[in-house]
Amino acid sequence: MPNSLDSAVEAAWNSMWDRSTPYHLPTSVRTGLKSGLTWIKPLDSLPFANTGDVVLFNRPPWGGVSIDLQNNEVSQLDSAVNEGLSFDPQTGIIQGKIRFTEVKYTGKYIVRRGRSNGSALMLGGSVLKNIQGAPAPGDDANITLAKSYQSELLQNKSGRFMLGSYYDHNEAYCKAFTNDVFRGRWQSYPTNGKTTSYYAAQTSTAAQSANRNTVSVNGTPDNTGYSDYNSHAFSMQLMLVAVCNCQGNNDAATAASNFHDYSQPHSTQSQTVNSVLGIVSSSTPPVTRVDGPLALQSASPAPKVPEPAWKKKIREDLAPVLAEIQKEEDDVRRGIKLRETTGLPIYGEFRAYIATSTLTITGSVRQDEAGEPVVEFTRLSGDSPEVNLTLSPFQGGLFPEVEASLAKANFLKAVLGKRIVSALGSPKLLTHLSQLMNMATSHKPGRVVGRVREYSQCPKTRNQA
Amino acid sequence: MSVNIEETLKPYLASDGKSINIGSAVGSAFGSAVGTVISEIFSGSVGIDGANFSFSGNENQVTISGQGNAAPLVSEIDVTLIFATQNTGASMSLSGSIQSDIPISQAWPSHLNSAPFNVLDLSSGKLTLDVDFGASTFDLDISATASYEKQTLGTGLIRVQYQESLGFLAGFIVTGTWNPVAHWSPLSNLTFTEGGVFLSTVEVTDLSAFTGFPYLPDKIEPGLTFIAELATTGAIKDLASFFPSGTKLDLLANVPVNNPSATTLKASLQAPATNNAFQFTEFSLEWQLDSKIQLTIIATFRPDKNDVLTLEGDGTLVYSPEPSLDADITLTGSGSWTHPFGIQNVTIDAFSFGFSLSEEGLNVAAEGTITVGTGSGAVILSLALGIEDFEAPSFFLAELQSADKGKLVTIPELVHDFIPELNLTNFPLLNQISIGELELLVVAAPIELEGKSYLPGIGITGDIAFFGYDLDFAFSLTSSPFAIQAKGMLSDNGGPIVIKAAGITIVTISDASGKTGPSACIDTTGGGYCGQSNYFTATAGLALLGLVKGSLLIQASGDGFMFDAALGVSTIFKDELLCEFYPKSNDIAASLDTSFHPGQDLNIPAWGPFPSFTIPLPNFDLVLAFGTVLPSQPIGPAKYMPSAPPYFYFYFDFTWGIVDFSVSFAIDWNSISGIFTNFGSWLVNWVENNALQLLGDIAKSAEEVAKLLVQIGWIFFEILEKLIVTFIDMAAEVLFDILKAIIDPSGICGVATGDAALNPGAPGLMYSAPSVLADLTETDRGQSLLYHYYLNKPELDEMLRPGNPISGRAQEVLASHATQSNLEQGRILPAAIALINTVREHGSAEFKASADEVLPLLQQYQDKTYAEFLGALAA
Repeated sequence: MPNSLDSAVEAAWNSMWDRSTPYHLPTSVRTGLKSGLTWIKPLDSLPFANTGDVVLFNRPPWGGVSIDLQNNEVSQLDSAVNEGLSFDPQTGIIQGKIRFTEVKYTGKYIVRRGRSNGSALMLGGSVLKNIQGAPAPGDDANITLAKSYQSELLQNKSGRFMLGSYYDHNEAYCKAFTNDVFRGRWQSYPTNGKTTSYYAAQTSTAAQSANRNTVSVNGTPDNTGYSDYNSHAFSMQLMLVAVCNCQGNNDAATAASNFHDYSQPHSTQSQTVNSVLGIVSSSTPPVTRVDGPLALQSASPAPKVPEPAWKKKIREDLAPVLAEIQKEEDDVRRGIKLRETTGLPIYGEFRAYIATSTLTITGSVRQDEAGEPVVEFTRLSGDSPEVNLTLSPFQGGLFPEVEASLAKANFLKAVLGKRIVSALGSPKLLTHLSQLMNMATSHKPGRVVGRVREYSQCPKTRNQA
Repeated sequence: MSVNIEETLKPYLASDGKSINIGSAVGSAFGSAVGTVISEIFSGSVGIDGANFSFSGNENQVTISGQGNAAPLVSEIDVTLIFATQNTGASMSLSGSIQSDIPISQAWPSHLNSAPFNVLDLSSGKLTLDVDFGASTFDLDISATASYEKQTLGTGLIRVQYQESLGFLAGFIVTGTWNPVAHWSPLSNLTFTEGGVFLSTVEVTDLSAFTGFPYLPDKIEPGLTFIAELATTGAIKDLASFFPSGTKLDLLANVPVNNPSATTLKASLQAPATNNAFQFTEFSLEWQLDSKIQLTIIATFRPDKNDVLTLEGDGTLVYSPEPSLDADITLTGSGSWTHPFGIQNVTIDAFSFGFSLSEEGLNVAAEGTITVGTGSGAVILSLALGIEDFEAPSFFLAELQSADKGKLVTIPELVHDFIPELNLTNFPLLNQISIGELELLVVAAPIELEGKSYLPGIGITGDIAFFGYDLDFAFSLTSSPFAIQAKGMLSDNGGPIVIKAAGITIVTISDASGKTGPSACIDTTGGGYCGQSNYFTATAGLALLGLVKGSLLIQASGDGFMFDAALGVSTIFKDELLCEFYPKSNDIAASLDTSFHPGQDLNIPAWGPFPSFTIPLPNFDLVLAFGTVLPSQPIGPAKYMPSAPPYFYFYFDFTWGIVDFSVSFAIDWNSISGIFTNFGSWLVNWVENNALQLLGDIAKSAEEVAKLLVQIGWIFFEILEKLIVTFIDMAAEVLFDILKAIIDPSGICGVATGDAALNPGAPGLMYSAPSVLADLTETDRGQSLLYHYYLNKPELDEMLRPGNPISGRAQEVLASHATQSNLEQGRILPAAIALINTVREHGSAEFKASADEVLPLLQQYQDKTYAEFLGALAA
């Protein structure tokens, strides 16, 4: 390729750093450029994916604490400065060196406190939770049983309805356990002297493969449907509905009620697990939408029977508990109860200002039919910068511990540094640079180069939009 | 030895002593001067007598007084004559006074019996004559009051002069009733003041004795001469424009002695007259006939501060019956005017001004030839210009000489000739401009000519062609700075420029009225000449696909013109369409890349697995492109390249919650004509009516279908059932997992949470994390493992996603390694190593690199329990 190409490429590169030309990169990043039929859009920010939960530490009283960095984006791309160009006309390989004096890295964080279990194999992802016949160490046997129920329920429509109805509200049911009052009663509320764990074990026993056809899961109900099992289930259901309603998950509360209505007719009889599954498989789900916007709630519920006296009594007995549940939720909502004590996710924002190392953008230059150089940058590489996040604080004792552990989490800083360089090397920026170079190499006096938008000191980024 | 005056004169006394008659012979005693005077001026003798005659004196001086008794000292004159010794002879001094009217012809009848003196009568006056010994010329002066042709004339001087021969000259300031019109009839139509009359028998150049006249001519010819100060009014009022107001001419009229019918009448400037850029150093008139005047003109022309040109010429003014002026002046000296107005490479040759009259008055025109450039490439043009009020011309106009007419000259050629410093190679559009019927102006100051504006420098206009369009343009080539600046109209045969494709009128580029082409402007400096920092612009009224908008700016850019067409007619769409008009091929292309907020819901009808649904207030990313010529680059994020023009293409992309829609579509050219009348509504309608395009891609993927149905608000069960009937090849479990991952992305199970909460004192925490992730943060080597884990987690999660074949393989491998024995002993590394090895081969280069770093470390401790492993990392 001729020498003139060399100088054309160099001139174009230099013009990207010359404020007096229309191709000044920092300006085009802010305002965009349009010329001919080419639109180069402003480049306010480069996003990258959520980190997912990154475990920071695991110690009492917090348990396993993780942070998930979301809405990640790198902005202030107009801080790019020129660090030189090398171009080999023989090979057509072009390498530009740029450095960002200060990019801004921002996003939102979610801090979660969680239980930790010893399952190292959970590292492999959700697939590992579903290994047939190989319960992960530490997994509760009850959960394993529940999972095998799930597989069976999936085999018929009615079972799928039940599963679906549950998963529609899974998150709400999870959240219910963040209510201390509910959780306390779930653990200790006695029915005939027995707590939930007793009845859970009863379920588990009945579900063991040897017992599925023989052992009753719900005890021996009388003709009003009363059994200790049914009574405890009803108590727990009342409280769950109350928590869900207090937490604003009214659909989940309704679903919990409806599920009860749906299953109630059979609860007056003693049932094995297999008979329950049989009932489910032979039932018709209350809603079968093929097309059309029918809502679950509009489906006709199963006919109601008059409520037996034992249920009325449970309602009366639980009234003060339900009031307590409500107070508890109120305190959480008002921040009277520190969020870090609830197990609920804690939300905040973060930012970091980062000076990058000198980055190399590599690409190729070819000549089109008209002999005009066409530049295409394909890659950006360079050392990862150091990323020191500043978090918006939240109240309580957890925040300083999160901050301290974050400061020590070099692995996370390294990952973020890598992600930021990777975001800078995204096609958005490389395309912007390529288009700008091509516009500059084909520059002719008199060419009209307009802005896509006016300059803004504070362009909106994705997080602000 | 001196002469005895008394003794010498006594012999001439009459015997009675009462008269004397001195003959010229006295000269032998007194000297030849006295002798000559007596013989020539006094016709041979001086005779004095009268009642008061006296003769007195001595040897040194004698005084004689009395009454004249012989012509020219006729009896009406009283005389005193004094002779006194001087050198070896005597001087003679005469004084006299006229006592009563005498025709002067009686004094010198042999000399003055014919015109003009034969009708001059003196009524009073004094005579003086002084003769010195040895003198050879003599003047007898008569200061007198005279009448001429029986009309009172005024007072003046009659000089009788002897200079080898006798001559008579009389000059009178006309104060009486005498009128010169009888002799010079043109004077009847002229206005003159302070006239004077000379009568002469000889040519006289020394007029110093004549004072009080309006002016004195260089000489007086024999005959009757009339002089006056002439105003440029009356018959010669047309000449007044040449001079500053109030300029007077010197009039000189003469009736020759020898040929009284050959009267002359002349006038000339009293002093050089400066009129703006012209200074007339000579401007003389000579009447040929009563109403025809011959003009002689010499002028200095100062067109600018550096150039002083001298031009000479003549002409004729006829003022009756039809006034006409025909005069011209031509450069003298070298005969050329190089670098007019300081413009290099231009020489004006054979330059002349012509003067003429029209109804508007005096016209001044220049003619000549201009040589542009040097050497063989020089262009020779004929020059013409008009000058107003004798001001320095602001321009010269020139056109190709007839031999070169019809020859096309390109702008680059002209620039090469005029301003070689201006490099036009990078102005492709300018290279396409050629000019026939070239007219060229050399412009000193900004001018408007025939509706066109020209800047100082070289102005160019003519029959300008530009890609088959007409440029009715005035170009200015300037040297400070070196530039082309031009304004005019761009048109197609005088009308608007219309671009059609496949029978559809795409765009009409016109003036605001729509009837003619747009006005256009060129400025190679990109300065403010075109109103903004643009180089080649046109202000056009635009009609784009039926969407009529007001005037907008078209700007040359590269090989075409660019403009932003506002698509603001629609109530729900307002943006600028970037258009490029390629004059070379009469093509147009347009593009748009924007965000589009329709401000209304999208109602999508039922299609495929989807029910009808409404997307509330969507925001699109929209790319639109169309053209009659292929684009140079693929269009938009989908890199669309049409197979052939014309094309109309759009792409849009938007997200609705967890669903991402992206449509790339080319539509039939013939359907576009009505699109832009309300583009926003059209686009919304298009989306609503083309569910296939919108939903087709989504319907191909179970995950995408699930996402959309989740977004629509379907419940888990409904979606799962729809997936089962739609994706019949997929297992229900897989579809269930796909859906569960969407609805419940955290993976936190309420059942598990409840189960965990069964233990008294357990915190109410939903989230559950493997403790190993926390444990590894405690050591540097642990952190190193975590770095690789988190770095590759997105890729790992994707590989292990339900439905991914790698996930199935990973499950099998894990099941075989996570043996009961291993798990019971807390040995987890073999399973982890096996998993990594399994997925490694499917991973990216980065994934493999991480695996290759992690595996040796894990393998080193594969036989250790978990606790031992942690201990080893810390060591």
